[in-house]
Amino acid sequence: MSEVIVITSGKGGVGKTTTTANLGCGLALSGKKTVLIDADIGLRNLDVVMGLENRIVYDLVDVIEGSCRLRQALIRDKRFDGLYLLPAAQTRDKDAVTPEQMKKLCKSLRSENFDYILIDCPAGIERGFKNAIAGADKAIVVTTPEVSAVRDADRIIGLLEASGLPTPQLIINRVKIDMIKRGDMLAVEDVSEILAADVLGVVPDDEFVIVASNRGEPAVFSGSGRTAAAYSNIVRRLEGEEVPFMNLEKGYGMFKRLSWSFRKSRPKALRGGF
Amino acid sequence: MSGNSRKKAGFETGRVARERLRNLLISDRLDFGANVMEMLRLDVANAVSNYMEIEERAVEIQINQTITGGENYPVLSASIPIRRVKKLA
Repeated sequence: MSEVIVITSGKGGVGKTTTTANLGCGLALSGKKTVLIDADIGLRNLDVVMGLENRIVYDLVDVIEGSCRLRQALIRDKRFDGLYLLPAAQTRDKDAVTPEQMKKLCKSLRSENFDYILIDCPAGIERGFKNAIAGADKAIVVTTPEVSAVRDADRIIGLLEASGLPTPQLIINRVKIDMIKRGDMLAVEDVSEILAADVLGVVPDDEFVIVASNRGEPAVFSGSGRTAAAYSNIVRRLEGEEVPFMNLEKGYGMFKRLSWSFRKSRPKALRGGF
Repeated sequence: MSGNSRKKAGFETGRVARERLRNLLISDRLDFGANVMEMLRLDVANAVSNYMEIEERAVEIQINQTITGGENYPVLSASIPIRRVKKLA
């Protein structure tokens, strides 16, 4: 049985595509046959985050319009067994596809025996969003601990529920534990309580995510570090395992010491500059 | 600045964010346009003016999140300036 999961957020730039890439790789690493669908037609990105941009021949719109067979458009990721990407079209727009066609596409993918079908949803609440959720069984909402992102997440949760999907689980991205400790960032529990939704995972704010995307290698692939561990935990929870939440403060001591040693050497230079 | 005085001065911006979100989401979820709120405001003013003389134009209503008995509820509150309390006939 395939499970179709749409990864959405409402607001742009909170990390949907990065999340989709990392969960996909994580699922493939744990032996699940997984396909990632980039539903952001006209602004495709999942291919570059995955480092597969040079291998695109056909795309989602080609499949839907019948210009190629489904299997021809699926790009197999050679680094991970059982991981595939269905890229978005870059030169078309959201109106090239209807929700009904997306449902049909998901149905065809289900018959290809994928364990997981992850859909990377575009930002916004218009056609692209409606397309992306049309064939999904459930949704994951990605948000950051910021007022604007949480507000949009709330709107998206309302729309998902109105369209008959179960209450989504949350991934809270770019959490800065030192700011929470200082009281200058919404805590994970605050976000969960305000949105009345359960937390599937918490991902720390980490420069390594950018380093990984520069290379076109999802962070979970590197296998070490807190971010990779955070994504692995989310993957395990998706598969029904009960995984306790990572203590984000672990390593905080080291981080603090490090930043302190930076501070010791930098203030003089900064004072003049700012 | 010590942690305590930061708290007192409202410098903990995480808490500010939480309160702003709570209030923001109430109006988002209600999905009331300005129109509906104005109709409600006029109806409230009308109803109250049966009992007392009020400054109808100065009536304000708002919906906020309030914690009552440990639970979060949206609360409709009205600010109604009273000119004179009428004697009921």
